[in-house]
Amino acid sequence: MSQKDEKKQFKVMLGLFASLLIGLVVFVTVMFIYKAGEMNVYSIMSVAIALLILIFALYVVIKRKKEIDKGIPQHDERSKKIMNLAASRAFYISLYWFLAIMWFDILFEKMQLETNSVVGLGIAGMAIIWVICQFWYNKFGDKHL
Amino acid sequence: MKNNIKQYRAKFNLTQEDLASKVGVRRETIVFLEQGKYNPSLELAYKIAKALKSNIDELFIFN
Repeated sequence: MSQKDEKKQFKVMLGLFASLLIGLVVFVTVMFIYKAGEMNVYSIMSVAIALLILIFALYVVIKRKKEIDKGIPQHDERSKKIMNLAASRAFYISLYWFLAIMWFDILFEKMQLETNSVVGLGIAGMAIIWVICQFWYNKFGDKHL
Repeated sequence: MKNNIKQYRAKFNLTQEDLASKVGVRRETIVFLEQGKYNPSLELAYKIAKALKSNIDELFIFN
């Protein structure tokens, strides 16, 4: 990808990120104004998690901006290979993660996890596994790279 | 795969960052290449060989 394309892609990403941030701020403000009485720990926690993810995204965006200005490519053949390897391994591991959630639900019947919670746990687990795989292969490499 | 990239880079007084920008990759890729923890594509191997005024056979040691 040429530097011009990378700058264009960065602008699109920045626009998306800014829209998400503005959307989240508006959503939280509206919730606090109209639904303050109905809010519980879980709703506050979910907003806090979204905010944390956005703060992390802001860090990534600033880092990328600095690299683009220096002319450093955002992706090269190694980073693309790592992304593919991490995605395939994360998918494979997450199958076991979903099985674990299923067994957890059967073993602890008293907990009675709701469908939303199970799906949320599954997706969050997949995302975390993917991030860990990315970090691992980036740091330690792999014989398949 | 073992290689002589570090020695050739030193010969031309190039930093890892210089070589990375010459061949269009990130510095981390050069670090992993020098450590033998990453096998480059034929295209990248050729680009590195060209940047270090060498050839693939001299740079990379195939077992």
